[in-house]
Amino acid sequence: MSLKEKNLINSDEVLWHSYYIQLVLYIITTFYILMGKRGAKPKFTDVFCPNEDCKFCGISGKGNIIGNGTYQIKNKRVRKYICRECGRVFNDRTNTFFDNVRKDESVIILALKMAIKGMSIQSIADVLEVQPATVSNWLFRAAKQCEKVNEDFMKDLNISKVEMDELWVIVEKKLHPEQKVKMKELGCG
Amino acid sequence: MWVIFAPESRLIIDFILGPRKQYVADELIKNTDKHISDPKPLFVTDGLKFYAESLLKKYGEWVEFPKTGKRGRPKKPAIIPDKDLKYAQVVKNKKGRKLRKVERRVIFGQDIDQSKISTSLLERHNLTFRQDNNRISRKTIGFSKKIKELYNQMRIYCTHFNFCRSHRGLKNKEGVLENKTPAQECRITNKKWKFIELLNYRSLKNAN
Repeated sequence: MSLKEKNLINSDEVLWHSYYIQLVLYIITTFYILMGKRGAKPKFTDVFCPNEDCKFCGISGKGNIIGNGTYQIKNKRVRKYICRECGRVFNDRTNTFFDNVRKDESVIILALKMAIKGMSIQSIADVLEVQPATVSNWLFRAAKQCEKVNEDFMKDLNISKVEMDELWVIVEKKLHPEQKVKMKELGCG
Repeated sequence: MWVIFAPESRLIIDFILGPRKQYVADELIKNTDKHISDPKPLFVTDGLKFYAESLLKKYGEWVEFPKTGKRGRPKKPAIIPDKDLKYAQVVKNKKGRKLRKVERRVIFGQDIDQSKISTSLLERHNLTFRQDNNRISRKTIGFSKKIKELYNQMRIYCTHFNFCRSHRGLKNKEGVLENKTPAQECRITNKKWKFIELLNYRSLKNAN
């Protein structure tokens, strides 16, 4: 004996239920046909063109940036973009600290944090098993990045009092007298 | 090393590496002017004479005095400080090692509250500087051998201090201690930045 015959479910209710299922299926199929499997394409409204000659350089939300694939780095996938206005290809790391850096991000961040806490370049290089020149290069890049941040944020500060002071700091390379003479010779240092 | 500091928000505005000379002080004042907005703040320093001169150079005006018509040598043109310029010094008088008196001198400007003339917060901050960085610690052999490396280290440290490190001394309006960064206190940023955010920052001209 069916449910209808038992009068447990109303016939109108069953009809509405089937209509509803059909509607949902229709929406899903049209969505897949129009948008594809991954849904709507992202618009990248917060990304801007880094090319200084471009009309929209540094201006986001103009619709000139489209996705141009991705590439895999260590533990991360980096998104590539293309500017429709000037044709410049760039990625998430362009004009940042990590632009064209091969080393793992976590290692670099660890090195910089060690530097902030007062460790020397040599000791950082010893801990992370990299060359001191590499650590020095990371510090240089990070300092440049910090300059950028300061330039953009540290302006028009509304401050009522400013204090200024000097600290004695030694900057010197201790050399033997013979080495000092040698350094002064042409072609040295 | 010369440091510019905003004591209310504990913000390190800028620093300069250089000898104790007039031209470095001029550069320091020039850099300070880039960062601050109008009206000009109250400048407080120690008793070093270079500051007054460079402040006069930056905010002063050359004035040629009118001829009086009387006999004698006419008054030479001079630099007169701007009316809004406020500058005060804290000078410590010592006898031997003992501190005798702390003198608070008003150099330029009027109506300056005597309680505001102090550099104690910056002096405390200098201690933090020396404590955190081996390169500027006293009586050690950890000093920098190259000025470039010292600059890089200090630049990263100062930016990290401003944006990523919360300061325990900062209070909210009700006077309760709050874990805020100096940049948050100064309303430069809305939240405490992570270090990776600092490294991934890309300068944006106009966010439309």
